[in-house]
Amino acid sequence: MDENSTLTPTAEQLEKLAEWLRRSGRPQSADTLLRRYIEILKETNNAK
Amino acid sequence: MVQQLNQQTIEFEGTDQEQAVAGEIFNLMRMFGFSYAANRPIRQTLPNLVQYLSEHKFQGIENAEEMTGLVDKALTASPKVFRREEENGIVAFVTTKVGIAAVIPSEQVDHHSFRTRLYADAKPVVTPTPAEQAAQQQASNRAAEANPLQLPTAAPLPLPTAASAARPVAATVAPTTPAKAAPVPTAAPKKPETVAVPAAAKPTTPMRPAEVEVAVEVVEAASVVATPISEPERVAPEPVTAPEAVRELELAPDVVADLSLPTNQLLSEYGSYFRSSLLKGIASDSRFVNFANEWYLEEMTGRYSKGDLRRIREYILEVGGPVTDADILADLYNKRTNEGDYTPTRFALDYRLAKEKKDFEFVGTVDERIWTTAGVPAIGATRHKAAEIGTDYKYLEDPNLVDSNELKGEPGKYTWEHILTFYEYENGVLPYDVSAKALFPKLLQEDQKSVILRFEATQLGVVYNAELRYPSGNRGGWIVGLESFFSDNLVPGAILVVRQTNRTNQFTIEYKQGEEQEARLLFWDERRQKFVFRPIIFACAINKEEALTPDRYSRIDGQKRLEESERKRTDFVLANAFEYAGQKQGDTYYTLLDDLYPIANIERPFSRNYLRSLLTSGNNQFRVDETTPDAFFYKPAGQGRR
Repeated sequence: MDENSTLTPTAEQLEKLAEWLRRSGRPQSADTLLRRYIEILKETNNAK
Repeated sequence: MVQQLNQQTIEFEGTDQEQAVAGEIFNLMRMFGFSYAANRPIRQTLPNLVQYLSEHKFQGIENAEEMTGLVDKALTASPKVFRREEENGIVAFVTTKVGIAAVIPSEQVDHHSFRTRLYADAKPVVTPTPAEQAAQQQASNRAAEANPLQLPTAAPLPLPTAASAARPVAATVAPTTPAKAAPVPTAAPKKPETVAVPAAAKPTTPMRPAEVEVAVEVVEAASVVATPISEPERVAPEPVTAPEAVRELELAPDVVADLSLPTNQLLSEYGSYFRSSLLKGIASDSRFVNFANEWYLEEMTGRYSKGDLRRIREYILEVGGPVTDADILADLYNKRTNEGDYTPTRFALDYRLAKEKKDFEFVGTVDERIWTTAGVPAIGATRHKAAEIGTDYKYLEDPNLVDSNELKGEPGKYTWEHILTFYEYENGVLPYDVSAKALFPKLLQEDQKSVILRFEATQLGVVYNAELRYPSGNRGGWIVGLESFFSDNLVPGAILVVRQTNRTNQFTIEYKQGEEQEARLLFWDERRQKFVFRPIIFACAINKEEALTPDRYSRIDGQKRLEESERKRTDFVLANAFEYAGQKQGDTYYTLLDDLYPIANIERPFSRNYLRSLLTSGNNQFRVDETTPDAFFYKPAGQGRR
């Protein structure tokens, strides 16, 4: 059961995720998408 | 003609075949990066390489899986030439034009080697002070008068190594990491510095990297003498303000993640929070669509017309049973699994069929996506209706009423040993109890009602299609479709062994074999509409404690079934079972749970824990024998024990 998070992805982060999916050219598993989301969070928060 | 200069001999390792593959891929990657600097990493994902080579039938191999194994092995065998990387589950290989495995992370490499290739002594331009400018100007004037104009000799540019037309073009663009957001400079643009230069003495500047652009204003030579060099306005460079790094991110009240931690660590510590956050975003964004565990973009997901959907429905009906998405794609669309766009095409089919809930029902698993449609014959021929069986198994959803796990082994290799009850035998069903829940696949789609299972009877060489009906609402779950396996080979009390295989919906099923024996066992005589003990020869081992033999249950011989309304009342069924199994002591029946269990399981299913619960939960017709474990009394109502 997932813990309920108060963190909501921003429009910019979702756009980055969409762009990544678009460029990948194929559906991705939820786990892969989650990893990418964390990378995007790091990038957009300049924590990388 | 383009000619490659200074081509080196690259030595590959591995078998002859692997060396050939590595050589081919090295040439491909070198062509791909023909315009790169010598030490700039050239990266290609394994799927891209495989796709290219498969399409060109390299070494006669078309099969993508076979090619993947070969390429991965071949490139990994030459670590000096290729560096293997894996990110987000995607394997990539990196090399350079000179055939040395790139070891420097690409982010740290200065990709432009023009500086060193054109002018090795290049230094950054430093803006001189006004006094230095004046001195330089005077020296320059003197030099210009003394020497004629001399241009530095430019080194010849290296020629490209191959035409770009020869690059391999992957049909599917590999996932790439978006470039980091560049810090936005906040300083005002620099004002061009003004230096007074005599027109006749315009200095020539050797080619240098233009780090600072200096505008030169030409003025009359005379004015140089008359006019003192004015102090140019120096704009102090303002520090470039980078966006403030946010390392700590609040995921929930009192839950803060340090984003500087590695992704794996973040996933292990806060994975469920990130997952919740991500799902919140993509579930409410119509661009993202999913089928089961896969996500994609709606705009990139293929569509199916009404005609397509009708053809698919007719195809399933023609087959006469559930079919896989792979069958649909192969038989109706001639789509092969090794085609480059197979994965997105398959996703589109599954996603679109899942949207057509009126016409299609998903009955598959993560590794075999199976579809059925209305009108396909139901699996299994049960004595009771599906709704009745579901209600009978409702108790399985109460953790206090189910028996302990009967599984042996470890996940993925579980073995389930189960003793067949009369109810299971007669209906061809198995309970979806705690053991079955760990053994059989979980539902993949939220609204999924059932899944098709395949049981291979290894002793018979026969495969049985069965259906697992998941619990829903007031109904428990069960597996249906094994009636012919049971009736052809087993008797109630037989010991079944079900084993997992490497596919989530395929199992082996067998029975414990025993000496061939003849015994009189309980059966329902359909013609005479009564229970009878009938001699039967069987070769399966049975658990004698659960066998329905006349020496234990003679009183049921010749009895009729309970009416459906009676069968629905558990206390009535139990009372009936006591009368068949119990030892009569005056107006009271006495029995052990082990004797009650097989006979109670004739009309409807019970676990031992469910029986214990019913016998101790307040119905005062039933009473525990305090002196003997799992022993109970039953005194029929209206006989002084209310």
